[in-house]
Amino acid sequence: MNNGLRPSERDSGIELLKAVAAFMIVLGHCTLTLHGQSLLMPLEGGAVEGGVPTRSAQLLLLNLFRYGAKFSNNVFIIASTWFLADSRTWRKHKWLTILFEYWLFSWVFMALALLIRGGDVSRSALLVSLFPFSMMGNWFISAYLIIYPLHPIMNKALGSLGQRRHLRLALAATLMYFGMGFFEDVFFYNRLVLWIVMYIDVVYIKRYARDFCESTRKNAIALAAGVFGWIGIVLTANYLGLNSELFALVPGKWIRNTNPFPVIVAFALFNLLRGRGLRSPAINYMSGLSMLIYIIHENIMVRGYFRPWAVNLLRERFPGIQPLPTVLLLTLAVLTGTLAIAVAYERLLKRHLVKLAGKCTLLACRLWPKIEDRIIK
Amino acid sequence: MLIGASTSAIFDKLGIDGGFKMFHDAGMNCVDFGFDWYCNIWKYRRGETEDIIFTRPQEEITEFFRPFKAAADKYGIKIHQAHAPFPSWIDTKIENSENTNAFALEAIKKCFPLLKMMDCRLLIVHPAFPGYADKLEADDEWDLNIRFYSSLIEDAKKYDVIVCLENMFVSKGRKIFSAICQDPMEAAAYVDELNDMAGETRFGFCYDTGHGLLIGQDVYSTLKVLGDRVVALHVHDNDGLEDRHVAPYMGILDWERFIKGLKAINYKGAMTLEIGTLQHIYPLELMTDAYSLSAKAAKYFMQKAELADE
Repeated sequence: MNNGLRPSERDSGIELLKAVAAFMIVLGHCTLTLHGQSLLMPLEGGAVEGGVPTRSAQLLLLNLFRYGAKFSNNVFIIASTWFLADSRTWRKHKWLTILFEYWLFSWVFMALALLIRGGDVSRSALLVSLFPFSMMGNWFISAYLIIYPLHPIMNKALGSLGQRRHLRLALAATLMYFGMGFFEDVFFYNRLVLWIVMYIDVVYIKRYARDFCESTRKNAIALAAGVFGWIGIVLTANYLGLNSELFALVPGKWIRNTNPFPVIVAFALFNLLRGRGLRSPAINYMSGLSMLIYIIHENIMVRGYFRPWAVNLLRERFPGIQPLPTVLLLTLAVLTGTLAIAVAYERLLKRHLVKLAGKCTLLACRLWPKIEDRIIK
Repeated sequence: MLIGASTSAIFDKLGIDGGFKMFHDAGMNCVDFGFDWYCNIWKYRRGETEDIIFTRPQEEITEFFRPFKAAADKYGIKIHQAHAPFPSWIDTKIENSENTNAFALEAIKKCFPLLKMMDCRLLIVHPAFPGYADKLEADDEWDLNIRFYSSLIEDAKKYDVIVCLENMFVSKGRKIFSAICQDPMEAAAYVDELNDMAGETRFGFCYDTGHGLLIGQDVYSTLKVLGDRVVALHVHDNDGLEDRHVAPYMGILDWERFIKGLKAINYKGAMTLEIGTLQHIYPLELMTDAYSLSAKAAKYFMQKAELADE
């Protein structure tokens, strides 16, 4: 998720985009809570139907928030890939630290949920909490932990293709997953595949389309096209859904990671903000917490129990509260809580975890080659 | 303001006292002490171990180097940094590499108590890398070096030493190629990863201007990426074709870019020249003057970069 440089050394233009993406992802996920998705306890008063055609500007806005979460995923994938594209090695210690953080928060929230709910916790959620990496507690973190060690191999493989064959691969993959895949999950689609396809595309653009990357004019046009297409698709989907039974499910279906418009917007903004010489320690610090924000706010216990509980609390305190203020207040609460936990962790605990990861890496460095030697012999 | 040079062959030519006196008279106040001069790894590989001091017990080695510290103190010269024996590692395809690599590591580890005796905190240790023909896969090279440097963490902590990595090159015939740590992002990743593993700052970077020049690297942008990881320097010039280790302005390096780089990272270490070739070019009678001009150049760099007098 970061480029391997210390937070203070990073390009604040990119970091600003990542910080905004972190906010939008929390907003999008809080909207999903109100829409009743991925909950482990019921919403008092029921869920607000989401991803359906509506004449309410408020509900349409909520649909847009969900698109925002997709946009944010794209920003994080593009930013990560951009910096991994030139790297030839992977840092085992860094990888292990992220894995430990993932595990730590998963187990802490599991323990809290068990404690607060007197043991009444979903079995499947417990299993996910116990093994967050393999059970995809957060799909993005799990995918990153897979992609990161693979990226030197992918870089080498893509490099060996040369420009023309790389272009063919990128176009074919994009057509399959962002073209046809926009309408329906096809070609064995999953989020890891999505990341790999975006990886292929970003590496191609970084290596062979530098003119585009550096051009303000071209990226401004791409941004305008992306925004226009994005709004257009939301309104079109809504219009079609309102006017024909046949298209009733379209607004929800098009809120997906394979929607090309948020990808175009994310990449154009990434290029426009990159390399502007912006340096802000505050922005870099906030953005440096984005991985933790992701791990914490989308933890299965937080997502399944805390967020619906918070919605219920809001509805109890403010009877008749509208969906939009509910989402905004929920986002504020989740973001504040998440940031507080992330900052406290960074200041109090992180160094211990980093040290532990260091010791484990040292041990692995000594033992692993011996194991490999034995297998090879 | 610490200005100095690598010791190289100076003590062979002028004796211990004479060597430090020369540095002092040339206007220098620190040195990069070359342990490598007393530990020829290639000779060890060939079995010629008699005159390698590092094959002896630690106490004996310490006593061997004690007069150097005494002479340095006499002339007010600080041993700011030391150069570990190198190569740190030889390719496993080379005959007797296993023994040689074990000895190289042992010799490097034997430097730590010496540093304590010399009141020196920086040890420059070349990364492990093979020659051009046997270039390792990037990931294998990374793992090899993480294993190699991490085996020094315990000693670095015990003796309060910062181990410095250095940017390297390889050659094939007369052509020079980039090697390990020349990519500043990779170098930064090594330093950060090793410090993370140590749990404290035990690793830094020694940027070698001549090695960077050989691969056509822009010194300013490289220093900017490395930032405060640069804790030591090997300042020298060349013609872009061979690692000549000559004084600044005797080659083609863009010294204004170097100054700009120092300023950008607010470099706080010593300005250490690695200009051992001068010891072979100039007659002994002119040595002090030759070094004096280089010392003035080093002072000029620091003043022009507006580096704090620390």
